[in-house]
Amino acid sequence: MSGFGYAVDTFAAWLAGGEPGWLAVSVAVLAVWVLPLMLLVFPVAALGQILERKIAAAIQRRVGPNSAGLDGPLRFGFRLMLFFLPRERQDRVFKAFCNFPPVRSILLVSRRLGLGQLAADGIKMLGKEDIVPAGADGMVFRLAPYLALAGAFLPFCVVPFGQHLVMLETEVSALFAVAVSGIVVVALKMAGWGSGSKWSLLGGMRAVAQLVSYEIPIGLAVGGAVLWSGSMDLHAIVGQQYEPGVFSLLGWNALQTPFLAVLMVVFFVAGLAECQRSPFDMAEAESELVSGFNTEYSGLRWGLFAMAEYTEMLLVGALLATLFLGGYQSPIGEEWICSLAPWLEVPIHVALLGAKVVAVYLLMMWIRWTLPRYRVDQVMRLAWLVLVPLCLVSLFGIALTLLAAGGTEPGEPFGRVAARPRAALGWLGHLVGWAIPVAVGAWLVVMAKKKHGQVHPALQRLTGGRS
Amino acid sequence: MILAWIHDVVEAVQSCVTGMRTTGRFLVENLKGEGGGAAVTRQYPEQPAEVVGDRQRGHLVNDTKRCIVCHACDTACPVDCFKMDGERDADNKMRASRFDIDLSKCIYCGLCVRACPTDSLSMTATFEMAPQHDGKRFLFRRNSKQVDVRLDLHDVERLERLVAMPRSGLSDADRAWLDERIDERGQHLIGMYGLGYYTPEMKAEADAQREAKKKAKDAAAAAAKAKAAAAAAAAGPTPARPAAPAPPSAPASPAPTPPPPAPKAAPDTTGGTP
Ligand code: SF4
Ligand code: SF4
Repeated sequence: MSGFGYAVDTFAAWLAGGEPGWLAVSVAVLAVWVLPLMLLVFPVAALGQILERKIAAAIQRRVGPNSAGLDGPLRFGFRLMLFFLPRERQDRVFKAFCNFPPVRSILLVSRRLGLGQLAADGIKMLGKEDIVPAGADGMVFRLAPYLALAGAFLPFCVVPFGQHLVMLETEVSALFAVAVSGIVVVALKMAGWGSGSKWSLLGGMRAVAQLVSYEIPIGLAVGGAVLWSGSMDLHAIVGQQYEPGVFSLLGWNALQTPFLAVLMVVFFVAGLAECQRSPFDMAEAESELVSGFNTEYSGLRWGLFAMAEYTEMLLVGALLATLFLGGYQSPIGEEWICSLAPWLEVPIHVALLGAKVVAVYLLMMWIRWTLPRYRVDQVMRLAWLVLVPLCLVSLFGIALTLLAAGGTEPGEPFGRVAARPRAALGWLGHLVGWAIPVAVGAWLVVMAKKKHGQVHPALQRLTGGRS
Repeated sequence: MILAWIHDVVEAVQSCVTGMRTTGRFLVENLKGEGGGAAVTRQYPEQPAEVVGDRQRGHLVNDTKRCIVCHACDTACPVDCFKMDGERDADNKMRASRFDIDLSKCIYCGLCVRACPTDSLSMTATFEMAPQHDGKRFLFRRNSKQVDVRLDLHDVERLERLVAMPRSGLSDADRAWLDERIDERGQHLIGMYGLGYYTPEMKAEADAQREAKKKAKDAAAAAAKAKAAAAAAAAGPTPARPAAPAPPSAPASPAPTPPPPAPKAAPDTTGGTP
């Protein structure tokens, strides 16, 4: 078979009425994966912008967008539909429709939430002039946003959304995800170089330096999960986190050993940097670089960059959930959900993965509106002197734990994918596996506090004794 | 060294958590509408704006009963907002028959108020002067102590016509109508043109004035140049350099910088169109 996953294979076979040719497979891939994915990911990424504005407003004690509702697009639609009527009649029909109570309340809510802002921003963006600067390298400049979006979007191919819902089943999908998202680096460099502007060039340089540095902690963190699960297949990694019984959350990687929990935090921080989100947004530090690599972009191309950023946030959330938080699985009663019929089970699983992604998304926004931006050297120091050592120590710990557990044993079959080997730790082994690293870590922290925790007397006086 | 590193990491995590806790509290409070959350923002056009204080520099108001048309404010104003005409009343006192402040030019610097010798010119706290789009346009909204007039466009035209005429020339009905729109303390309604509303005649007049001013300035500059050239020629020890011929039309004394006041606008031309 073509290896495009269960759904694609069956659909292609149905299309071709037998062994599918490449045409049937391509159509099936488009219909089963690309379209639904785009319909799922892009609107969520777009909604993310409005959500972000609302959250930023709440954090800063403002109100946020609360005036633009859906009335405007609706009125536009009415105008188009009732083109044969004079203006006043159109408006009267529109008003009558809007005063219909359910419609009115929906419109009111949409206005309070500022949903119309989305349409307004989109239309504004489409209406902007499409500028290619005089000194720009035209093709590179034009290609960059599409590459950035592709790099952010492609890894979704290997993210499992449900028991049978994974587009590309390869043995190395974890590697694929990390490698393909590396396209973004090239795209940003192209944007910076092709713009023919110093701000863009500097921004692109910074972006590349940052992204390349943070690929390493990300790779090591992914490597930790892979080491624990004994497979590079994301679907198998999810399957391996399956735990029968009520508390299926106990099977999640992040709860297996403290080292994996640390790796999850590292992955999150590095992912934040990969998305160029605050506090790692020094590539587009407005106060220094105007807007970094996208200084010269306008209109739709700029919109693609923004979309790529938000898509990449979704991607980091999805990978984080898949690698460390049980993927599409429910925290409780996963066994029961798996026994449901596919038409019921698939939406539940997709929604669960979505919930985890949104949680990560919200956390990223919360961080963005809390922490100030790092300096360039601080960004590099964090990557090389903090995250990478943490990763290495954790990897070492994972390896030790696996060694102490005496190797791995095959797990139970799960979905279509038989669960891969899993460390044979009983509950006692888990307890010990948590107790020893936590105890050592706590002891080290206490020692460190004792040795370096003294606050300067003057500072102590100022802060009232709190460090 | 390792301990120092651990201490660094722990500190970083702790401080991040502290910050996140603070903003998280704001977030929750704001979403629940507690703790003064969203109330910090005033939804301005719907909720009335706050008057900031007594010393706010807002809309200008002139008490025409006290104004003596001395043009002190006119002189002080850096952007030439004022247009005024005066006439002698029964007691042979100067009274303003027309007193307009072009508030579209005004920068609310308050220099005119300081210059006014009779304290007739003052600033109110009003700053909401935007026209509305519901077919009416109101010039001023009652906020604290300003004129409260709601006019449609037709009224504005009439008002402009009446205000541009000498008060003694008004019919009784017109005067009553005008008085209705002047608030009880007898302040003259001013600033109609502050909405950027020019009649074509006024625009022509303003253009002519600007033109005249520019000409006068150019002439003055040319004269100064000629004078300097002449001085240089006189002071030069050797007549090696031939003296530049004087510009043909340079007068001996520089032209007065301020242009002569523009001729009084004929009252009947201002509001001729309905
Ligand atoms: S406040 Fe306005 S009118 Fe008065 S001097 Fe300043 S600019 Fe001129
Ligand atoms: S300075 Fe005062 S008195 Fe003189 S013209 Fe202006 S408002 Fe009237």
